[in-house]
Amino acid sequence: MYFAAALVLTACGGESDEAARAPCPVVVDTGALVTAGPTDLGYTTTLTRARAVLHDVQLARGGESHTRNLLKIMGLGVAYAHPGHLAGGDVLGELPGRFVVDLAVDGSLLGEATVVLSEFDSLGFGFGQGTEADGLAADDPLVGHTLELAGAASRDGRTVTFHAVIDQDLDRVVVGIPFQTRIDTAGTRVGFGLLGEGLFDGVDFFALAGDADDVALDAAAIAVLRRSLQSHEHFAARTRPPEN
Amino acid sequence: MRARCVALALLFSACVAHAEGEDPGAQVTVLGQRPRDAASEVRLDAAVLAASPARSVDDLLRQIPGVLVVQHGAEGKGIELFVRGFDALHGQDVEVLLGDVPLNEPSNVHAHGYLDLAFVIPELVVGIDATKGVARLDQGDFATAASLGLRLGVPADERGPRVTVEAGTTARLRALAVHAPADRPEGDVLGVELMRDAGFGQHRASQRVSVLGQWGLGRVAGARLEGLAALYGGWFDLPGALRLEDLDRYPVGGSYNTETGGASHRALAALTARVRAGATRLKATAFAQARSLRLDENFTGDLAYPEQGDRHLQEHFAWSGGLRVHGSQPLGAQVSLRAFADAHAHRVDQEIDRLDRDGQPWNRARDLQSTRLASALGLGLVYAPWEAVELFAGARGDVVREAGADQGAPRVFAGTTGQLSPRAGLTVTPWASMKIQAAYGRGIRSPEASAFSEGDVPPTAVDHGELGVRFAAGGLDAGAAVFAIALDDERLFDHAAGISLGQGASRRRGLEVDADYRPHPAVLLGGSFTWTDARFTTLDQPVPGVPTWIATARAAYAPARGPGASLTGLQIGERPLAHGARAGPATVLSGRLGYRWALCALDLEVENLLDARWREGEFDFASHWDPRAPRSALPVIHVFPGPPRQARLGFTTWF
Repeated sequence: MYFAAALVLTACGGESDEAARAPCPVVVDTGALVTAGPTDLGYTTTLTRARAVLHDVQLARGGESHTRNLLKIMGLGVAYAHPGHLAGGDVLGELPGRFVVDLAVDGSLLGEATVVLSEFDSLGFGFGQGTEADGLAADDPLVGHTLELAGAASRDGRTVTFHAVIDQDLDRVVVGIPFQTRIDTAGTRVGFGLLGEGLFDGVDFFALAGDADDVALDAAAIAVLRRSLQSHEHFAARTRPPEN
Repeated sequence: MRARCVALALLFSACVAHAEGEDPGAQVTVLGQRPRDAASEVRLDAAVLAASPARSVDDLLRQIPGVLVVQHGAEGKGIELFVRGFDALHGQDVEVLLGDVPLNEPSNVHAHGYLDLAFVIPELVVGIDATKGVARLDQGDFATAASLGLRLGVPADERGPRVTVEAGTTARLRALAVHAPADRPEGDVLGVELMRDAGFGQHRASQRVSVLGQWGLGRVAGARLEGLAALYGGWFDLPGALRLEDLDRYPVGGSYNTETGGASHRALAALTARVRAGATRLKATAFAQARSLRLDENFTGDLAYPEQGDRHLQEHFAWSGGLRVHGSQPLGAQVSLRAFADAHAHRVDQEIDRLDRDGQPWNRARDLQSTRLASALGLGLVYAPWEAVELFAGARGDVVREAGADQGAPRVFAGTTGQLSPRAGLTVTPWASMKIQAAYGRGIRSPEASAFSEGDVPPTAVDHGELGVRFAAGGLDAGAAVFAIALDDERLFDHAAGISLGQGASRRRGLEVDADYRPHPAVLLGGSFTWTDARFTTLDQPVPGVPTWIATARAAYAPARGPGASLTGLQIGERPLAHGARAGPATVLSGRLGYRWALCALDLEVENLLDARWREGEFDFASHWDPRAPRSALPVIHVFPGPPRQARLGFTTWF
């Protein structure tokens, strides 16, 4: 009877609380790009332009988030049996939308992500192809393409400049970019960018350039870059303190 | 209609008149029961089970201390269970047996160990034996959190052929015929149940037909034989979950889905032979089952597939059969041997189809056929050096072999898993009324079929320890226990993605207190309190969905004749959800009011007396239902609403 009395006297229910969320800017971080070492063929590369068409940046939690996100994007992660165990519950931060951004310009703002204040393991995004609806001029090299790279490659005292336009499939996503951190504060900036090391491995700039000082990368080199840029291994992410 | 009312009135009058001249008095039959192996073991008898309203046997499980039952759909879909800090999903960590027939379904398309208990007619359950944790040799690969044994029968004062008709506020109509002759043992019973119910809220209708029986078949070659058989069909809506933010915009029990539903069928037969020669005992149960399950559900709207929607159809067909043998043999004045052996086979054939908005399949995600052969052998010694002390030590070995193919992946897989699991216990009886018990057991959680696509898979080992005390005297049966559970590497198989997800180490600890007091044969007072702290230690997160505490209370007055009443309460403490979300507490009171004559009874059941707007299940995941709302992959709380106030009036007549 004591228990029964206690039950009657107690309120019949309490409110539930959603996980705390906060806005966090997502910016380009060239920190990993500028520390790039020489390629396997001995070139030191510098990117002066790395314009990209991206969409839907997501921050995820989960020890095997790379696999889980990949499966989810493949459509296998729907909550077939136990909601809460399977559905997109491990995506804890997102910045939806399309972005044309230069990954060679540090601090470029993509937008303000909504982030569940918690632990994170990885970051991911999708590739798009530029259109005039993205604010691009009709003759912009990115129209109909995903990335536009330009830079310089140096070896043995010689430098050539290079440029390339790269396409990715519209359903191509990059997931599992390591982002093992905790976000507790609104305004914490999420920085991500290219990881320069190894990005141009296999590209022989001088052979492509011949005697010229500027080279448009050929199909084989572009294929190498296209594959490299599909991997999370060529991207890096970290938090940066809020801007004052 | 009028003629029916008159006939009913005449029958009612006859019952009352008969009651005035006959009062056979209360009879109590107590079946022989094995001794408790852990202080937290509880035996819910017919009086306890009758104290609370029960639409199905799922509601009977709510009476077990420390168990949270969550229904994801309408009556008929398998429940989700939380116990001892485990989210046991649909049965992965809770073993349920009917008699000695295992009901967990390995590699069910919906969830490993899926429990579909709707075929068990609640009035035919005379008791539930609940062992939380792992203590006994016969606890198998679904018993990592608990084992629940459903005992069929009808107590002495309820025996006799009878018919019950029931009507409820959710347009519920139910008819039950029970054949339990008074001159037969308590366990002999046959029942037929027909039910249809519109369900509360939206899209929660259900129907079922169940035939269930257990009958003594006499003696053959010194063995006492008992048969068990069931035939069942159930059809039910599947409303899915509701986003917390939409609770105020939808009526109680609202649903985004309007066409999703399920069906379940079962045929079961079992034969048990008991042999007793002096102090030697042997019990063997052979069983065979055929099962089908069809679930058409959608929990996430069109989040994953904006064009077609995320609706999907799971179909499962399974055959299983096996043999379970329990034995005990004295080896001297102070030592006895306990033995258990189990061998069973399961064949599953299952498919998952993605459906478009019209319910037409557009993609097959799974097309799996698989066979599982599992065997177990347990041996242990009981040593009683003094009358007040009993030691038990033993071990159980499990081997599971799985082989199959998934044409949807496609992949062929085969693998083996197994484990040797020590079990031990100490019972000290300082006084006849008190037992102090310590128990240790290693449990095994076997992987489901698809997990063997990685080849041989190690099982999840669960180390479980408990220390407690039990007091039974003067009508009081009370126990208290503390428990601790450790898992080195808790692997959760994500059956949708087809991969094992490592959660790292985890631990559970807690305290359980339960008591039932019967100051008079017609009076029952009882309750329980369970506190649990469950964490994934590697991830430094609480186990989502596990209530911090659960309390139950019951008070019942149930004389053999005359008016009776009962009141039961359930209180669920806060539940941590994933990523820092939190489910609020809930309290639900229910009651019964009835009158029993000699040959008939009226019974009014009211569920959720205070009409609390409570949320039985809460989960954190992403969905997209409102086409005007932006698409977001961020998790939000989704709820399965608890039933609002519902009343049912039942009339029973004995012949």
